[in-house]
Amino acid sequence: MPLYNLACRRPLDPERRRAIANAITETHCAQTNAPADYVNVLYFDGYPLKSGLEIDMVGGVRSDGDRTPEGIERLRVALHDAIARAAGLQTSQVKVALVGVPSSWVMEGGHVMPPPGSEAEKRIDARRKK
Amino acid sequence: MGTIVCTFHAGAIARDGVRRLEAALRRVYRDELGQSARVFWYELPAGQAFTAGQPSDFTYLLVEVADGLENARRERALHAFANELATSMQVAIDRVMVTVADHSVFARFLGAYRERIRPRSRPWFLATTVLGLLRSRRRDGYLALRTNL
Repeated sequence: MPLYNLACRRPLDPERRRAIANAITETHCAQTNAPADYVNVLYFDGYPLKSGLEIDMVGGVRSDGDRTPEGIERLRVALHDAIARAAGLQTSQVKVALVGVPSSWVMEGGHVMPPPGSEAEKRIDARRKK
Repeated sequence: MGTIVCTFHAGAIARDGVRRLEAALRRVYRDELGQSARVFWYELPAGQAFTAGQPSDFTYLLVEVADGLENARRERALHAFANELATSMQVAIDRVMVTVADHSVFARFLGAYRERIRPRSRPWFLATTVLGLLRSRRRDGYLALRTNL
């Protein structure tokens, strides 16, 4: 977690996919201080999206710990801008929705996810970096 | 009845392996959560998944449970699903991501996925999705959702 699911109107070329995945990863980490290892991006192609949209992203993000609704909204806006820039699209051609999930509902990296910003998360990060 | 959605990489599991894994996931659901479950499968073609900006080999499991499941039971279920997935797929447990989500949050994800489809295309989308599920059930023995339309 996060798990970002991108539906695209038409398939993107591999370089564009990688560029968008990197932009999402960098933006998520910059906004939340989460390690990049947690950021997952999946692409689904050929979707008949709503009029004017080229990419529609739905993201599942942890919503507890040090995260506030305002912080999650800032993340959503930053992701929206980053995806549009990396994809070479207008922001009106991109939509981003985030769904908040409590950390304790997710298991990743072999452990139940700790709340963002918690001591438990810092311990796990330190262990992973060794 | 609960719902499980498993997203895996093309070639990571053979068709008979998917059927075996489906039986195992349904058994875990029954043992841990006391109900039956249906399982849907997304098979991701190469190049469509990234972790930390690099091509990903993760397998993703989203499990729907009743609202308000107590924490201890949810944690047991998380471990049981993750262990089953890692064992069946013969991968390290840190290569799987499992989310055990309340029904109301699971429904929010489904609602967001449905909402992205142009309204006048939704009947076509629903009909072709159901047809695709029926075909995959008959051909492969499991319910495969289309990753790319």
